[in-house]
Amino acid sequence: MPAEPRSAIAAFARRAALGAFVAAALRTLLLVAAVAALVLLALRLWGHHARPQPLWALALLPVLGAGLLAARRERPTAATAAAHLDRRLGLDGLLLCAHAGLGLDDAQRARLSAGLAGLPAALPRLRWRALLPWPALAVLVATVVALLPPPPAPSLPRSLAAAQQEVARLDERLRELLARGELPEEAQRELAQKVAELQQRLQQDDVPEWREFDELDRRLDREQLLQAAAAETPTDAGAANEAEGGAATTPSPTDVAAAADALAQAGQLDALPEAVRAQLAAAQRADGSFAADRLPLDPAALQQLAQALAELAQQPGVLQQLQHLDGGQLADLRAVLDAFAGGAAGQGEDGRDGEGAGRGGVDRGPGHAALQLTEAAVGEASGALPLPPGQPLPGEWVPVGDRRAAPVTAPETNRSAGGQGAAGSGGASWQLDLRPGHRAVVQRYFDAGARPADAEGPKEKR
Amino acid sequence: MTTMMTSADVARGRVLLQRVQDGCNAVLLGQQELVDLCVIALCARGHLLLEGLPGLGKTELVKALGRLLGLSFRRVQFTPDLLPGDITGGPILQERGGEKRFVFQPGPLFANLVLADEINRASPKTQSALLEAMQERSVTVLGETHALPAPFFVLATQNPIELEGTYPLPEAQLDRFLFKVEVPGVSADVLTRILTDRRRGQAPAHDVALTAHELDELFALVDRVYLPHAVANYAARLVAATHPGAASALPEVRSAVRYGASPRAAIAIGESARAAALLAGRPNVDFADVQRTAVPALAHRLVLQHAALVAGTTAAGLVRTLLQAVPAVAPALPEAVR
Repeated sequence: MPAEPRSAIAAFARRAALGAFVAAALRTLLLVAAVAALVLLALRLWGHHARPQPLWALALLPVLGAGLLAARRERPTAATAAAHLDRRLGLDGLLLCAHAGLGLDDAQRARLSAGLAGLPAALPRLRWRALLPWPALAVLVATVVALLPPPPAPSLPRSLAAAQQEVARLDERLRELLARGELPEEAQRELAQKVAELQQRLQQDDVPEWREFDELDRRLDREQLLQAAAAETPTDAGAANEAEGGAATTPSPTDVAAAADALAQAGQLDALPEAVRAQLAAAQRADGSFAADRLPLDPAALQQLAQALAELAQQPGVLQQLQHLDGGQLADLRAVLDAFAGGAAGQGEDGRDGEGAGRGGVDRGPGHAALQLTEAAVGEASGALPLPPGQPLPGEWVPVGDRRAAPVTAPETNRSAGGQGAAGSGGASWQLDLRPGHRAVVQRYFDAGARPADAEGPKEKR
Repeated sequence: MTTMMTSADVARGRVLLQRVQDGCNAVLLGQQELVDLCVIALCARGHLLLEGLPGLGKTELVKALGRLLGLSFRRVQFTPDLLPGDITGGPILQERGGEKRFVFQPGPLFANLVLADEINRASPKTQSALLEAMQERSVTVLGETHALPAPFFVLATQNPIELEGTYPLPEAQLDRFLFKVEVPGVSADVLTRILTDRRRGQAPAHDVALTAHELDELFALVDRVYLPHAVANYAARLVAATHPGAASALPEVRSAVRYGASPRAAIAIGESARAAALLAGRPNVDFADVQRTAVPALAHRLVLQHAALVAGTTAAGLVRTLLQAVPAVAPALPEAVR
């Protein structure tokens, strides 16, 4: 049945708008697919892999938007559609007359109807061959890129089972570390969090890279090293020294003060060497007792002091003078003094040589070399890190802490020759640069310039 | 609701036109397109300029048209010494009843059909005397305006060779002509027919094809031909495309055209397309009618650059280029559809 002119024109306009929609949508799809493929490829090149997600369907929004915009913009008006359709149907303007509302006679209507019978063939057709290939190719490429398997690990093959084994091993190692001794709370929390994070990623089938396992492993190595170092200091280190070379344990200042108190009450301290008595006098309170915190901080000096007290106690009759002590106290004092005396064994032939490295003695054993810390090195961070026995020095730097220090803001005056703070500023330079015969002239010139004008004397004749 | 021409009216108009066509074709053998354009120009009530070599039958065609239409016919042979008064007429002192007075003596322009033969041989002053007659269809002499008989057609001829001593028509006067038609040569077959059918080239005698009443009826039918808006827009875009300063002008137009066609050209296309549609048996103008009348209506209205003329560019060729380049319907359909 032939269509009415108005409906035929509307159908033509709709088909043209559809063509515009499809063309614009395919053009935009080509662009979106190309960009998506490039992005996915770039991500793969950078070592990332994006799994296809339903959210990616949002990329079709610009496609639809562009299509709708083009359909709205390029939809022909009814008059334009009528003109196009009239030409396609070969109606010689009869459709234009009908669209303009002119009355047609029967013959003209019959011809118009006969022409409109060919409407389906006259409707615009999409040029699929020109439109489809490139967008289809781009979509195909983007799909293939998106469906590519995740890129393999660059060095070692990563599998879920191996990663789970590694995480389990690291977890077990952390537990052993915690069971072996105490870790700093912050390090403990950080390590546990890292292990938990790895376990969580494995549950999501996200296999971490091996470098993450290696980092955690190295971190555990470091904590283990620190833990062992902490365990060795100070008691184990002393025992090890004693076992190896008979080196003395650093005496306790409290014990030294107590022993000095006991001997002082018996009036036996006068027999001590002058230097030792001076050290004790510095630590003596007003009531005559000795303060442990005033004794020498240097372990070597303290050891020397303790040893002097032990030697004093070994002299005949000294301990017998300690009548103010009961039996138990005396036994304790004797044990302390013996310990003081035992600390000197193995140091040297006479017990005085080799008291410490750098003290002029002959070092014959692994004696403890006390570090003389400067002001800038004071603190735990810069302190020496004793290594446990048998533990080699790590191959790389091991950070053991950090500290903050306020910068020196007070400027120091340059007091070197010619400096601002040097005496006779300015004088030194010209004395260095001028010939001796000219110095007097320059000196007179500046001296004259420094004097007021009215004070100037008669000028020299030239 | 406005009613379009009925099919019966269209058929009637076509019959009337066919009579004129047949008469002209009987006189001028083998010049069907030329005859059609002449009939179209007459139906559109426009003036016609025929350009062609001598002996091609230009004058014979015009004379045949005058006789076929039953109109008064005058022929003026334009020469350099022809004066405006020679064609418009002038006052003559006459004595009637003992009283002497000036009486206007109409010139040869006072006819329905005026043949201005070799119009480019007259001086510009005489050519200009035709301006008012062609546009206003009246003649003013000594302050008195005398209306020319209706219908009034000027059919001029000019020779494209032997240009010495000629005065090319100015653009203003060229613009008054509805069509400028170049008369082509004829083939050997046509020449054979001329030799065998006619002694000394004498055209056969023919009767009047249309009476005055039928001519008026024909004009009325042409006026009723509907010009759709889309077709009018096509004609307008064609004319606008001849202007080199237009944004959508073709490179050829920009380089070759100095001045484009005037709005009178668009009017000429519209009117002649109506006649062409009736000649084709249509109650309305179609795009094909515009394309058929565009070349003769536009070509003589384009002023070309001197360089383009030297290079051999013709105005008719440019108009044909425009017909190829300007889409019939605008805006065009999206490129994605066919």
